Amino acid sequence: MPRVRMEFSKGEEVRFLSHLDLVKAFERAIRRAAIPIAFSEGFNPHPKMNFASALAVGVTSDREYIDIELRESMAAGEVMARLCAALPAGIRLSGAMAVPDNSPALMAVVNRAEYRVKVPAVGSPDIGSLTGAIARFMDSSEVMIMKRTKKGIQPRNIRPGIIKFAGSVNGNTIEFSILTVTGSAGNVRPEEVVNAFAGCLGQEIDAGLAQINRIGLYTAAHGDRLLTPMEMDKTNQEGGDNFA
Amino acid sequence: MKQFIENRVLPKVQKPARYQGNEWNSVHKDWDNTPVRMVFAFPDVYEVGMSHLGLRILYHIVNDREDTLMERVFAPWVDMEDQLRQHGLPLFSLESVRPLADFDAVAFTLQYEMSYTNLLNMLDLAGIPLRAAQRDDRWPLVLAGGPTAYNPEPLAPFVDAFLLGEGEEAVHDIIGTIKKWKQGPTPHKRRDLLQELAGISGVYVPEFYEVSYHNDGTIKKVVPKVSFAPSRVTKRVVRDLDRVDFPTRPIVPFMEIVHDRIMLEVLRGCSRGCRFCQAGMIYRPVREKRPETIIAQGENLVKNTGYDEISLTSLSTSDYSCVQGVLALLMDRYGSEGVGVSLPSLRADSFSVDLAKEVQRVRKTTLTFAPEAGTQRLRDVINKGVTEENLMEAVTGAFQAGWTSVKLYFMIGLPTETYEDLDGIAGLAFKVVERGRDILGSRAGRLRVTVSASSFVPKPHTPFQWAAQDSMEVLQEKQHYLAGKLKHRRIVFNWHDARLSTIEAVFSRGSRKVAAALERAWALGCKFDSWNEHFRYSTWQEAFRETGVDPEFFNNREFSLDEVLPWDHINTGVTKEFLLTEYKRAFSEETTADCRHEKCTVCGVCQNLPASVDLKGAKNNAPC
Repeated sequence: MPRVRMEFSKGEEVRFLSHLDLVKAFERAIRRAAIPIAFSEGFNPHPKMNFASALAVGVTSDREYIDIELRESMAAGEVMARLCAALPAGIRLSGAMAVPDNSPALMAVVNRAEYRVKVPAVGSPDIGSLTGAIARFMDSSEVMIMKRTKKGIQPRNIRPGIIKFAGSVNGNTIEFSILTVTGSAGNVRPEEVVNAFAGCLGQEIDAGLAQINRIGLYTAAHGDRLLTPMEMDKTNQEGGDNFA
Repeated sequence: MKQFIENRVLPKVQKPARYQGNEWNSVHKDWDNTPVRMVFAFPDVYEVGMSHLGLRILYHIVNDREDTLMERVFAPWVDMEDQLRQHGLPLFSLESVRPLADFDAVAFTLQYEMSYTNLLNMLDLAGIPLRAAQRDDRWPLVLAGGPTAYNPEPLAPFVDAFLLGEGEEAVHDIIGTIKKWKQGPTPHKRRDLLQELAGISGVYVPEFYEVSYHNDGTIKKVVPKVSFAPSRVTKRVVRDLDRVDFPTRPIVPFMEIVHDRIMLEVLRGCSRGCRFCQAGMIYRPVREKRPETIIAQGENLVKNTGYDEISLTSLSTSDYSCVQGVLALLMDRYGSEGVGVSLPSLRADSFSVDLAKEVQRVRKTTLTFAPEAGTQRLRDVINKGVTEENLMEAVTGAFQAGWTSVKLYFMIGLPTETYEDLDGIAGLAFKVVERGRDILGSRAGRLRVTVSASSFVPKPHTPFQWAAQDSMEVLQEKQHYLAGKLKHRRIVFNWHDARLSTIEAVFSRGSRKVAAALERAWALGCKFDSWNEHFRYSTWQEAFRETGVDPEFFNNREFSLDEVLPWDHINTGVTKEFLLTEYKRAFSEETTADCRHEKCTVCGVCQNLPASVDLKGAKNNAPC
């Protein structure tokens, strides 16, 4: 069945939606837009759509991805144009492309997530001690946190899942830039990194008030190269309509 | 304020989406260029309030007017209340994040008595003085409507004006009056506005009425203190449901709400005449929509919301005279698009189960029936026209069609109830289990019969308005007795908190005197009373004690037939004579037939109100 992949952002207006809320918002927008989405078989049919990664309540994102399967073909540009008009304020589409129906699911290919995190600090933090603390933090091979799992609260080392971590100071706000592992190979959340780091910094941080924005989702390819889901399938598909 | 709430407050509360008013189809108007500003206030949380059709209807009708805006506010959950109080923030409207005090009118809907403390709490959080007498010309008008407004007296000191009955047309009269007053000569005197409002049909302004009492606490009389207030206020009613505005662009919430689907009203009112049921009296007469209207509205609703389910709502949808045709048309049109149709409640008969079979794509949900009482004798007393045979046919149909789980609703504490009637409830439940086993065979392992028992609360404007409620101890004893009788691995028995029901009855039948207890209970911390985890019975008792209100005077006392009832000056169209006749017939176990199928019962509605029974697929039997 034809499949269309779209790139979208989750803005301030909708940052407090849960992943389930977002899924439903798409489902309803797709119906309002009269896009011929395919349904699963069985007694209780569900529209066939898949997201690259769930986004937590309160988190905004510049680039998220969704694949939808169609029961009859429709050009990716048409799907995007119709859906744009039917999506609530705050969810904006920035690209659409047809993907081959045998290409792997988004969830299976995305394995890196990049974030910017703004945290209000108490007093005025200085950049020197921040940089030093980040260097020490990244030098250690172990960053243990307590994580809620199915087996209760368990200790876990998140350091291997932190690929890049940088910080800057802007007035009373500390801004972090974080690249983590996500997906089936493990998942490190940006607030876990910030919370763990707050302990090392010796500076009070109210991580509950962190403003987290996801910059992008990628697949780590050869070397340090990161490909977005819109680029991945371009490499194995020539032609095809493309509206990135 | 908006920035602060988004960045500092919402990250700290559960379900922050409750407080964001930017859902699909929400209306955001230009504040400065809109002369009349109202806020619709629902005294419970967002997911409960957004499931209420009345809010959807009024929001749409008011916002369709160019000269008026209507925003929304719900009771903030306790964590949000803590945040608001901690930061000194006033309760705000969702759409434009403005303090309630900035609006011309705050309009509450009253869906159940146990939301009254939330109403007071919301006024307090908004910084608005609770009592009408404390509010001078600066404050917004506090309005209220909805089913429990039919006994407005417990809230009389707090509300400026009540609207009795259906709001679709009356809201225009109210807005027109507010607009004229705002554009009139300054200073704007609150009293002038209330005087104008009191002249609108269906509007009750309590401060214009004087209540006097006998020494025993019963009412001597309720009379207008001013010449311009009517001695009785008659409810508003819409004559033609096909011509009245119905929202086809309802808000689509982001978060899951209780009724998360299209609510398409097919008819209003019910004339089955159950003697305990307030809805069955106050929403008369029965008026149906034409199938064409329903189909057209359904089409727009699907297009404008994107929902995957249309619920055909009413008090009793299987009574809709065109129900089969409408169901078939809707399923035909939307089946392939993944849009289902559902029926909210079912009568306990085989016709209803047949309807359910048609619409239910999946058989895993529970079917619910409400026989209400355990014996035919008591069902005749309450005029519940359902027989054991009806119920058994219905559950047989359900089990045969593949349902494995049924729910049976009963009420305990009904007038004349004996332990034989309780045995009858258990007997019915066991019969249903037996039938389920016989039919389900190898699947009997999945059989479940849920028995739910609520406690009878006498309601104003019903034939049982005079009846005494059982004491809390008696209700608990009956619950305990039933629980013992219903011990079975296939039966789940649920019951309502009897303590809550006894307090509900105080505010259901209370006079103005109970207002003090309400205010005191709120001051002592009562709120969200209908939420188990927040209900504080001992605090309520303390409030009654401190204010000298005897709850038993209102709940556990049989009201005398010649007594002036606290709500006698409110006219629903149904006459007191009719209610009295029905009350007497109850005790002689005489049933009264539905006027849709037999002769007119002369309840008074078609005789007294500018509306009449309006059926679209059957002849009106009632010669009204």
